[in-house]
Amino acid sequence: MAETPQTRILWVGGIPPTEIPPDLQVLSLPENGVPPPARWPEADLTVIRWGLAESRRWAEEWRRHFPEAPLALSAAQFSADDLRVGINQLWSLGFMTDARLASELPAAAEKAAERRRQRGARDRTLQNFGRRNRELERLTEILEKTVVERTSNLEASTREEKEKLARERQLIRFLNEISLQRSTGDILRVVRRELRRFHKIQNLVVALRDTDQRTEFMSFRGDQILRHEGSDKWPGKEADDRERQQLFANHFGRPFHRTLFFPLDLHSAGEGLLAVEYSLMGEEEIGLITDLLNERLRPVGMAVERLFLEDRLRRFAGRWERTFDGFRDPIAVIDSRMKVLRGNRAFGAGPGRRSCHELFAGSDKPCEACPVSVQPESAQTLQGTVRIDRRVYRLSSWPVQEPRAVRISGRVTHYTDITESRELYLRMLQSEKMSAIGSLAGNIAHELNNPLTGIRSLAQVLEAEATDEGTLKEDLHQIENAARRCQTIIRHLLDFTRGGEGPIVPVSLDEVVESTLPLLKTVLRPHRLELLLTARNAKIMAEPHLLQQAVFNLINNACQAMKDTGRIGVASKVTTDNEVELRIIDTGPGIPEEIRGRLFEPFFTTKKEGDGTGLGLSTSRAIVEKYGGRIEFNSVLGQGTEFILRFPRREGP
Amino acid sequence: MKILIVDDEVLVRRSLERVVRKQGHEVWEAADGVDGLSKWREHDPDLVFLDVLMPGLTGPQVLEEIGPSRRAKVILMSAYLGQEKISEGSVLAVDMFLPKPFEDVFEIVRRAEELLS
Repeated sequence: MAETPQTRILWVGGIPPTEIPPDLQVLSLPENGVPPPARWPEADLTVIRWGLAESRRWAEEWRRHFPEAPLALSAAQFSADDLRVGINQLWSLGFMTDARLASELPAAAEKAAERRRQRGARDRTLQNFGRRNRELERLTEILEKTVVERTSNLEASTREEKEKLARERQLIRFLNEISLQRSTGDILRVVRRELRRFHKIQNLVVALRDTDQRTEFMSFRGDQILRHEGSDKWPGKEADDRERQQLFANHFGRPFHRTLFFPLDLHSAGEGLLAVEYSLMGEEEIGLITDLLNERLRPVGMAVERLFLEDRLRRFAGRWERTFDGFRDPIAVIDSRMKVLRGNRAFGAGPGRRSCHELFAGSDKPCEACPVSVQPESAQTLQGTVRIDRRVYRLSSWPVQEPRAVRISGRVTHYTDITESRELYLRMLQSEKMSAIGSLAGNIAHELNNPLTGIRSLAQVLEAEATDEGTLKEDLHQIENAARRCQTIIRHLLDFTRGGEGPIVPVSLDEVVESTLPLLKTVLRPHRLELLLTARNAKIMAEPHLLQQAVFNLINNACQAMKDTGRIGVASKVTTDNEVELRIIDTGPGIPEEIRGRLFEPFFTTKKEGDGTGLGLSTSRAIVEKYGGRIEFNSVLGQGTEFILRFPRREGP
Repeated sequence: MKILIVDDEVLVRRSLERVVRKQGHEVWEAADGVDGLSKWREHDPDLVFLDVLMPGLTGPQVLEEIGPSRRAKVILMSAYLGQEKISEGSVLAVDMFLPKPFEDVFEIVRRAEELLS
């Protein structure tokens, strides 16, 4: 604000100054024409004449009205009291005495001007403030408006958020429900429930096609789901709605007009098509339904895909199971602690995690000689042979190991039943052994025969030449006897080893026994032999050498069963059923219960494999049965054992 | 009569030789097939006791060497008779089979003399 060039002074009462500097302008109010102070004109400096009757009253009243305006007092002189009042109550800025008026007035005016300038500045400042305030107020308004806007936006978006949240919750509920469904029909039901609130939807059908190109149509009848197989041409991925309509129309035999189609991608498991039929619906509603279903298409597709894949997997697993179970040899998958994870039918199954020997061999201890029990965690293929019950198995056990794993995760053990082939092998071994022995015995026998012949012949000659004096003749006779006995033994031995090659003829069992006994002289020696043969004249049909072998075997067994001295009873008779019966009795320890069942097993022996050249009871039984006979035994532990042979008697001579 | 005994067992030779000599015949002995063959050729016996299994030549081999046109009677002796297969040719050319062991050496010589008569 530009300063006015002149300072305006209002002189109230008294005589205004006569000499007025040019920059001052004085307006005076005569003493008796002074209006009320409220109506005094505005001036830069108001000077009130002091000492007049009204002075104080004017000053006070004026001051009340213009608390800020500069005031000066003019008087001939001022008392201390006047000064006090002037300063304290009237806020006068100057006290001008007449005498000094000429100089004091400009000073006061200057002060007033200064005041005025200050006030101007202050007013300007105030104005500024005022403007600023207004600006501030305006900004505040704008801010408030913005806040209100934002708040309402926030509310709106919160609402939107809530709605979105609600929609997503609903979707999640839907997803959860879908994932729990175990059939495509149930899935369809869940979808229908989602669309419940759209009353204009009339019908919901779905067509599903699996990788085997089988198409199934599902539709509702009330709450029930109907399924039908179809063979219609499936619309391609780029098909339009018309083709899709045709698919459903062809199948259901009616037109599908207002229908929304939603393809389901089942990836490797097949394809699907969902059809939603509706009656008059607005664009908006159609949009809502479409959005809703599009959101849900993927989970529905995935759920159906999952069901299809599960089904396929089940079928494959079933096939694998059947193959695994159908495999004739026992196979087991075991862990590194020999607990069975999976066994096929031939192996046997059982609840819980049992060990392979529990399930297969029925024992809580590993099978003897099982290579797996020795080192189940070995990363090598293990092979071995085990005997379980009456069967012999060859087993191979392969380790199962994840690549880069340090330890194996389990084994696959395969058992092959070699009982029969092993029997054959042992039989062959036996027969080779026997023939080796046979030829050995044959060789020895012949070797011995030569010198024996010589001894006997020369002894005969010398005996003939000897005189009757002394004992020479008799001695030579004894020598000849001894030689003859040797030859008999050899002959028996040869007969024995050659058994079986001759024809079946009527033989006396008693004679067979008698011809066998010399061969058993050594084993019989420690024991007492009680012989009672009463069937001499009864004949049975047999090849004598082979029969001899069976008899030899039984008597030999009886002798060997008795560690200490015992009794061997050999008795024969003709029974009331006209059978020829032979009993061989020992007083040995008897046969333990657990091996009684196995006694006639081929090559069953309590000796180690390969030891012994015995025929075994199985061969003896075979010989007896070959000639129509039967063999049985009785045994009492601690008392002894008795073997009984019975043969049909041959009628006639 | 001239009799040749071919056998590798010494007691067999001795006993047969004693009995044959007692009966008044001339006797030669051979302990193996080779010696037997040479003596056969040398002495031209009327009867030969011939063992089968001998060192050198076996009985059948000696027979082959002598040939089918021999004059002597042949008694083939063997512990192996019945066990061994003797070749067809030799079987036909033998006059008597005598399995060892001998039961009675005198009996044997008697049967041999029957052959010679």
